[in-house]
Amino acid sequence: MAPENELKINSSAKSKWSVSKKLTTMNIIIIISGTIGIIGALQLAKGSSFQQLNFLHVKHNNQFFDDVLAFKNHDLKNLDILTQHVNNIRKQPKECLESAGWFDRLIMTALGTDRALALCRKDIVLADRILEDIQKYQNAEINHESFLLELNRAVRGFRQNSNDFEPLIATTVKSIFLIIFYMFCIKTCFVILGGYFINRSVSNDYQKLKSTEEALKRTLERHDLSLEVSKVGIWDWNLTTDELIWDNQMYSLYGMEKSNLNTTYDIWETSLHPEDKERRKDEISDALDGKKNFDTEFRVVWPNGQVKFIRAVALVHKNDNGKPIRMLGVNWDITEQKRLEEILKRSNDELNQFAYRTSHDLKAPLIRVDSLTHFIEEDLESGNLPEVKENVRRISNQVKKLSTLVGEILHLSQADVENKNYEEIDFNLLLKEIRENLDQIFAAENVDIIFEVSLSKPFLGEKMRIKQVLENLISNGVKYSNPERSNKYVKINVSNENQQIKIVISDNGLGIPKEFQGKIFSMFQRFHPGISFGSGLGMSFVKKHLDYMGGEISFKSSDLGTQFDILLPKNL
Amino acid sequence: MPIASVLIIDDDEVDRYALKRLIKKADIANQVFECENGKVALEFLTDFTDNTKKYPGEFPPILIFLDINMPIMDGFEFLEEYSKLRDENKLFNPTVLTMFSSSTNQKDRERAFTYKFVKEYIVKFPASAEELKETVSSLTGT
Repeated sequence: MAPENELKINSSAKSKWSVSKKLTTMNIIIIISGTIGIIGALQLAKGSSFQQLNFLHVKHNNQFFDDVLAFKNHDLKNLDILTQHVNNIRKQPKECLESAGWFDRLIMTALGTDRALALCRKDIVLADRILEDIQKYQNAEINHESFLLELNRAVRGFRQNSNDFEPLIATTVKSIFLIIFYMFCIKTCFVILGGYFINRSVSNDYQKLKSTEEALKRTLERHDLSLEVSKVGIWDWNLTTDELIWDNQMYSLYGMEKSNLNTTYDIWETSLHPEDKERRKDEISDALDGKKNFDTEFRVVWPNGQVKFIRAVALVHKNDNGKPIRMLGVNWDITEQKRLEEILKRSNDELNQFAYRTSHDLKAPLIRVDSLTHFIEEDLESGNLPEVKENVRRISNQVKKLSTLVGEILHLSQADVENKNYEEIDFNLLLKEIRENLDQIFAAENVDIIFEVSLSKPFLGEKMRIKQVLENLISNGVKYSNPERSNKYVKINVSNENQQIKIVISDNGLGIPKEFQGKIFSMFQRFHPGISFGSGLGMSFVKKHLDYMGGEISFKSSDLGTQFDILLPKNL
Repeated sequence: MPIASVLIIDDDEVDRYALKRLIKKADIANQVFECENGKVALEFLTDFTDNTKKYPGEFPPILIFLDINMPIMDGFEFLEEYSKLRDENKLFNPTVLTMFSSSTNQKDRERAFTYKFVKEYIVKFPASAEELKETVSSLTGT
């Protein structure tokens, strides 16, 4: 799985039924079942009290039965005893009815045992009737026989009611008991299962947390490594508390040791290059306002004075009201990149200038040759032969110029190549070759090329570059020789100088005009008006070659002549 | 109708020769002065006493052909110095300049025309003597 997705997947798999919800549910179940249990227990108590009343009822009824028997046998002393006993009997159903609340009636209706209450009412009615009958007998409204009949009927009635009452209550009690029992069982199951699932949930959540932690740790390891290797620094700015946190990389980017001071913001502020301060502040406020993304470059000054270029990119976090609360950014060093860009730009500019000047310098001789051929045609027509001769000479000169320039352009590709092809160089031989060559080209100048080589060992170096340097300087000496001197010379001296060799090229020519001495190694410089021979590139090549070989060049010049001193390190 | 004299300021001998030949062929001027760079030209132009004696009626030159790329003092440096000269001395008022260069750079053209007395910019080489004659006629109003 791709590293960046590891963390995401773990955190998105949140359980919809969190642990606390489960616990709450279980609590609710326990409370409900507990409540039901308590109610049930109360009902049971009531049920048992009803049974007790019924028991009393039976007892009183038995007493009544004895009374009736006595009455039958004309043994009954007093009718008041009868009344008392009937009243006793009447008490139970009355108590039952009084103590049965709406909730009890509800339960009994639900269980289908509410007939018990109707029985109570029936009982009361019967008792009342007997009491009436007792009155009637006492008032001699009814005779002994019919009274006895009623009494027996009443006894039977009471007994029947009790008999009917008993099973109803028993059923009620039993039912309630069963309900409570089942409730209890269910509750227990719930609690056990609930506990099990909650435990599993907690376990799962813990596992997820653990693996998220692991994934985070791995991600951080990768992150730290990449930051360390790429030398990217991270900064975290809490806009509310104005606290700025830097990681280790940031400190090294700013050239400092990590310190525990809270003044990171001050460190940053003072490190900023003064010229970039204003701009940086504007850019930060633009980013906070949401106008622009923070993506910028600026300079910092290290405590040791070095100036470095830093690139910075940052994100702004806002709270729910759209107010920026945090700025999280990275910095990295682009000093090297800037340096290379500068070199590249200079290279490009040099190249562009070279291309322009070269094409110009190549075109000019060709245009001149073209004109000159037309003139030659005209002159041949008119028979002006001396003029033709002169123009042929001119054409030849232009061709020479062109050829030299093309040669120098070809050399250009070699000048910039890091060759490092070392060979043993015999300076005597090399200088002889150069002299022969130049004597041919510049025969008319009549300049003596004299050289003296005093090296103990042959020099190990890049022959091509050394040849071009020598050729260039010596031919310049010949080209710019002073026509007014009788003995024009160019002298070359090659000798040892510690770990280097020294080459001195001196002449008694026209010298380099003072105003140009500063820029003789720049491209396209030509100084002598009558001697516009060559492209003006030669000296810049000399400099390039010497730079590549790690050599140095200096010169003195006046109208008495010029002397170049070259030092080249020995390659072992 | 040929004008009295022209001055060619150019460092290249062949360029001067070619232009001079064209001028002669087109019968543009009687006298052709040559200078190899701006400095020499200034020295020539400021030497009134000698030159008016040497070239009566032909000094100073009515028309100047000015090259740009020259050593010692190039075309633009010459223009700067020459414009000061014109401010000081009314003698140069009738003189008209044309650039005469192989440069086709637009910037060079614009820079040359910032001087009021530069009336034309000829790119080396004009195709024929006739063309040159026409250009010169319109320049000098002859």
